Amino acid sequence: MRILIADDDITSRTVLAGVLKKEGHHVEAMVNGAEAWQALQQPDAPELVILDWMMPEMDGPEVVRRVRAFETERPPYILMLTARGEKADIVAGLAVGANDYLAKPFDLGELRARIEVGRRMVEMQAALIASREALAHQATHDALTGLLNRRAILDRLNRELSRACRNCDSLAVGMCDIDHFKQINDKHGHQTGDDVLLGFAGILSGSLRPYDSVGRMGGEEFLVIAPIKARTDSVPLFSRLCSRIAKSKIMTRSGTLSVTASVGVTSATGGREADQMLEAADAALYRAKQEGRNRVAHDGRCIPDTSGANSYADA
Amino acid sequence: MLERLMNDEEMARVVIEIFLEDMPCQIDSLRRYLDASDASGAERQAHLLRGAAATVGGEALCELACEMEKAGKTGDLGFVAARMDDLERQFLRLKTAMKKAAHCEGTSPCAS
Repeated sequence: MRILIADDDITSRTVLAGVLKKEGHHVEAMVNGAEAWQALQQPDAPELVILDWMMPEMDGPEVVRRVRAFETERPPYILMLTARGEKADIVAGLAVGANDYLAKPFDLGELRARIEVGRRMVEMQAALIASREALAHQATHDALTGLLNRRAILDRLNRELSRACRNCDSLAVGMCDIDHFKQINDKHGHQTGDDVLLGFAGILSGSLRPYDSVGRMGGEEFLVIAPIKARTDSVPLFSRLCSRIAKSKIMTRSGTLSVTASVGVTSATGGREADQMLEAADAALYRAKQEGRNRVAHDGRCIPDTSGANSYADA
Repeated sequence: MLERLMNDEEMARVVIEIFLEDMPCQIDSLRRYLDASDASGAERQAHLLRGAAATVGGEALCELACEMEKAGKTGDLGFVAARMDDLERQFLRLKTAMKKAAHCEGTSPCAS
């Protein structure tokens, strides 16, 4: 474990650092409170701190106060070192935010035990942060494909619309729907259908430019958001995507399959609501399906896929 | 102290060396706080001496520093000044005991 210790007395500091190192800890030794505070503001500061109470420049309570006021995901576990029998110091130290205390000179068994308590708390904190992050990921990602889920891609759409409006840029969205997906499920079963969704998601995300986004709206429907320069035709972008999909092979448990997709595209240069864009993209998608699938339809126009065009990734 | 150092005699030797080298400077520093009539500085300095003495098991020195720390806290610098010679004496006694112990193996090097 990485432990920061601060003590102005070289004898006490040497003993504490020596023992902790012997116990297998990595020790950073500071000679006063100001040095400790400096080190604790670094992004990879040690997670456990042993702080002498009475120090020149900045005393223990002041360091604790500052550390506790400091915004961080991972606040350190602080053990204060107090002279034996100084109850008032212990109470004051715990009140400003120390986690525990150790009487000085320390008893080796007690030092070990209190560090073990600290280690448990630090681990618990790390586990909590990890599970919170996992939950946040689950809340924003589709479990099957790992793409952004419906809510997250719609959030992204709103953000990108505001950004496009601010920068006077355009935003194109493409509603991509796998053609005849039901037939795949009926013929090969749902697990193969899942394999196709997963492979399709891989083709989409592998085709995006770094600043594009893709999410799964539900079922076999995916939304691609592509920021473009104002007055640029967004259709070629999606046509290339369409032909890339048609040319790709998807490995499934029922063997290699190919699919095509229909894409409904709309674009906006600020001032449009996400709902309006989705509605227009849906209407265009409907038309692409009507016109025979495996093609891109844009608001008013319908452009059949001319296979053999460059892939989207080459854009 | 040896027990606190996980019976590491080499570490004990290093700690004692550091203690004996550092202590005279710390005692000088306490004297400077007295000269400057700085009661809180004297209190803090006596606290440091007390901690260092306790760490190496120098009980008499520790007790004396503790009394001086308390006097510093109440601003009684006269008391602190009156104990300075005693403090020096206790330190020298501890130093002699430590040096002696270091020469006869098997005994605790910090018995005072």
